[in-house]
Amino acid sequence: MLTADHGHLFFPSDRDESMRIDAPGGDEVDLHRRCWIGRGGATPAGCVRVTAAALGYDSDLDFVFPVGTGIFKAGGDLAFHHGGPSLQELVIPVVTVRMKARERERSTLGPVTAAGLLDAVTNRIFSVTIQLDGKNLSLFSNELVVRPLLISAGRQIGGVGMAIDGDFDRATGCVKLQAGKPVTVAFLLSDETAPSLRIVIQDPTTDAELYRSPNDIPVRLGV
Amino acid sequence: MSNGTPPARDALDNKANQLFAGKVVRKDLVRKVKVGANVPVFVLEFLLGKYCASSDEVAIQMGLQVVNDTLANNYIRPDESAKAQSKVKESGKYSFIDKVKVRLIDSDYWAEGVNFNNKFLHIPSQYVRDYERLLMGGVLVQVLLAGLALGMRHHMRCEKLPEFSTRGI
Repeated sequence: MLTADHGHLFFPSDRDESMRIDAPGGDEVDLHRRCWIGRGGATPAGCVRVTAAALGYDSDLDFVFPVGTGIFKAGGDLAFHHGGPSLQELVIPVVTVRMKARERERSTLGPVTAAGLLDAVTNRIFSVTIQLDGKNLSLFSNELVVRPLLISAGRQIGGVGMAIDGDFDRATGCVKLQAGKPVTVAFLLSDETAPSLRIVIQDPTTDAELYRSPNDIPVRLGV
Repeated sequence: MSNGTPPARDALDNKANQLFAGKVVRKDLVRKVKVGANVPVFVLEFLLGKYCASSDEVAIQMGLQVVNDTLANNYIRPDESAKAQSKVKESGKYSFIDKVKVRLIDSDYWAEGVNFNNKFLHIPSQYVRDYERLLMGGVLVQVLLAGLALGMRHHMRCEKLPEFSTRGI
């Protein structure tokens, strides 16, 4: 995650006194150059009032902030000051990086394998056998809780509804695998509009991908 | 003669499932579905076709569970209209299987959910154009109902009319 901040402003000399704003007044609880806390009072021009409740606090107080680099009259000079929550203070840029891995490589490296993959999905419910015995199995991992999913275009379109020979948690859709013991899971396709899907098995604690079926499986429902 | 035990699947069944994958309705499973009061057989067959059109025993086992759950949670029986209306109120929207008729009042189409017991359901005109039998005594459908203003009986809205559209009753 990347974030922005306008930082403190530093000048060789004081800026114009017009950058100082009268405090809102009212029932003042606390006053800083960049924030007034209290009840009532006015909301000066160039300022914004936000209730504490809107910020998640269990309180009846209000906050008033200068919206730019102005400050409330609360002492200090204007050569080194911060100001209020400007755009740079509020915007949080988020960059998501997706690494494109080679499919064949990704499907065989995980600790989970899958067998019985279909050539095409023709019924909304179908089964696949999964097993904990692939490569990269942790040294002492005899069991692992996994979350098998149906994914299409990066979107979940189904999950597990039943597991044979494995502990299945219906609330979370997770299945506990024992090393070397195959578990048959029945998937329920919930979005019938997807043209194809892949079977993806995740670690529910980290969302790490433990298995992904190597090819897109076309969806050809008959009814 | 049938003694209640479904016949074993033979080579022809397997061949049909292989060549017409997803299109073979397992009518032999109808008796395995818990049938409540007056659920038409074609509804059961439709649901079996939707969830059990397979020769995969695990899929069929789960499919039967889904069919039973669907009948228990979504099929409105005639004496359960208040319960069904409550589900829409509490959930905001809920999917049901019910007979839906449409009539034209002045210039507006109004749908009636027969067992849902509401004669003033908003319905998009497109559905009426697509499924003419809605105007001809009604059809049994799977319908998603959304309550736009809860407590106002005129403000339930049909959002989806997809499933049994070719089967008038």
